[in-house]
Amino acid sequence: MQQARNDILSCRGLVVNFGGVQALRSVDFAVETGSITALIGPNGAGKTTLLNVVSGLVNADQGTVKFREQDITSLPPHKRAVSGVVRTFQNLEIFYNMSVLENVMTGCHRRIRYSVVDSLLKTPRYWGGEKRCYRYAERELEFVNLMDKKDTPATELPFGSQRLLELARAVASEPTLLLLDEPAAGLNIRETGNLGKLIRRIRDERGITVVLVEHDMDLVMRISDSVTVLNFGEVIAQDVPLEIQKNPQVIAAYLGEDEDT
Amino acid sequence: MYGFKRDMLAVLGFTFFLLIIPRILGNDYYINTLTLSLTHAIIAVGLNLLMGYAGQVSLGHAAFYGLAAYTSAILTTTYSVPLPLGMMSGILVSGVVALLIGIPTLKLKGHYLAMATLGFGVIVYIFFNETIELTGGPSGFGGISRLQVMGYRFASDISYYYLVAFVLAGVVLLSLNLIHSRIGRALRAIHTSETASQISGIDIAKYKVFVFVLSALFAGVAGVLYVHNIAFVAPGSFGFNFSIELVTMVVLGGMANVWGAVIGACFLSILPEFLRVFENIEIVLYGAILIVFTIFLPEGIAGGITKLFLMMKPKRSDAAGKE
Repeated sequence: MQQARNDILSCRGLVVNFGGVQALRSVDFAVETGSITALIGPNGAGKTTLLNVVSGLVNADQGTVKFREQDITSLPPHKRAVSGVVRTFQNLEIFYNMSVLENVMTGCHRRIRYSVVDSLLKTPRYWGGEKRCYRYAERELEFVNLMDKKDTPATELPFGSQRLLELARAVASEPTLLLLDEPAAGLNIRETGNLGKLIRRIRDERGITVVLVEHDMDLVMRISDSVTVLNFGEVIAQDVPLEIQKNPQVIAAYLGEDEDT
Repeated sequence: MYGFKRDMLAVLGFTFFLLIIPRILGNDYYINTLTLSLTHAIIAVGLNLLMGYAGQVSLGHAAFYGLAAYTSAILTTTYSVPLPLGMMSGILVSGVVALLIGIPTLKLKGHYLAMATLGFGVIVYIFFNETIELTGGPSGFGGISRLQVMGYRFASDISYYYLVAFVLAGVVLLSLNLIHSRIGRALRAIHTSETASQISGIDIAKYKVFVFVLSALFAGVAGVLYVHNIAFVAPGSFGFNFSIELVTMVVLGGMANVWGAVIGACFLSILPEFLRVFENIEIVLYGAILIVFTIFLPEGIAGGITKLFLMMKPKRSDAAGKE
C-alpha cells in the first residue's frame, strides 16, 4: 500500500485451512512500527487465527510472515517470542501453579541468560540474573498496578486482575510487537477504560507496537491508529478508525446485507 | 531471595538428622533398610523434578536405575574396569539412553512419554532376564565389588549409609537450587501451559528433554550406589512394579515438592518393614494405607504437613488480613 511506511510486521498472502474450512484466504496484513493497530471483524472472521499465525502457534498453508524485514514464517513460537513477538490470549493462559510475581518473572525468561550450571551452583551470574529478573518483574507489576498482590497465588486473583497479570507477563518479556487477543473480554466499563490507558502507555512509554483484536468498538475507536477489518478470512478494509466507521462494506459485514436476509 | 538461606538451613538440618538416626537405631538391619530408602529417595527426587514440576510422567524409571546398576556391575566385574570409571559409565548410560528416548517422544504433546517409558521399562526388564551370558539372567549377577574411593573402602554398613546420606543431601540441594531459578520456573510453566511457556520464549522441547535426562541421571546415581552396596543384582529389583512404586513415592510424598519426594520414598520403603508382622494381610494393609493417605492428603504428605503448619498459626494471617 503506502511505500513510505515503516512496517514492523507484514504478512503476504496468508492462507490457513482447517479441514474444509478456510480460516484465512490470502490475507495481506501490515502493521506500522509504533502504531496501535486494531483487528476487528465478526465472529469467525479469522482474527484469532491471524494472531496465531503471526505468533507461530498455527502454521500458514501459504504465504509469508515478515517481522522487522526478516522472514519468520517457519520459526517456532518460542523463537518468535525471543525475537520480540509476544501475545496474550483470549482465554487466559496464566501459570496457575505460581504466584503473581513468579508469573511475571517467567515472562522475563528470555531476558536473563544464566545457564543450568549457574543455577545448580548458585554462581554470581545466577544471583545477578535473578536480581535483575526480580526488578524487571516488580517494575511490570507496578506498571499494571498489581504490586500489592505480588505474593498472591495467581489462581486467587479476580478475573480482571488476571488479565492485567497476563499483560504484565507479556510486557516483561520486552517485546517489540505485542499481540493482544480480546484483552477487554469479560472486563467491566471501568476496567476497560483502564486497559485502554494501559495499552496506550505500553506504546507511548515502552515503544511497543500493539496489535489488538477486540470486539469493544469504543475501545478500538478510542485507542487505535489504524483498523483492519476481516470478514470470512479476507481483509475487507484497512483505514483510520473514523473512515472505518463510515465504510459501507464494514457496516454490511457487521449488520448483514439486505439481500442475504 | 527465594529463601536460599532457608533451603540451606533445611538441607543442613536434614543432613544432621540423617547422621544421627543410626545412633538412635543402632541395628545393622535397620541401617540397611535406611540406606535403601535413601537410595530410593535419590531416584524419587529426580522423578519429582520430571513429574511434579514439569508434569511429564515416566513409567520406566526403574529401568534407568537398573541400567546404571548393571552397566557398572558388568564393567567392573566382568571387564575389570576401575570402579570410578565403571560407575561413571553406568550413570552416563542412563543419561544417554534417556536422551535417545526423550528427543523423539518429548516433541509430542500429551502422554507419549508415559507410553514410551512404559514400553522401554518392559524391554529393559526382558533384556536383563534374557541376556544370560552378560547379566546372569533371572538368577542375577554376584561378586560385585563394594565401593572404594581413593583407597577408602566403604566396608561397613554404616559408612555406606553415611555416603548415601551425603549424596542424597547433595541431590536435594541441587534440585532446590534448580527449582528456584529461571530453569525451575520454565519447568513449572510447562506443567500448566505449554502455549504460554512458548510465548514467554521457553523452548519447551529442550527443557522437557533436559529434565528427563537429569532425572535419569539421578536414577543412575542411585543405581550405582545400590549395586556397589548390595554387591548383587537381579532383574527383579528393576521391574515395572518398581517403576510404579517410584511414581507412588512422588505422588504420596507430594508433587512439586522436593522434600515430599524424600518423605514419600522413605515412607514407602520403610512401611513394609513395619507391616511384616501382619504376615498374610501385609499387602492388604499396605494398599489400605495408600488409599487412606491419598484420600486425606491429596497434596501428599509434604502438602499435608505444610497445611498443618498454616493451620497452627491462623491468627497471624487473620491479623494481616485486617490491616
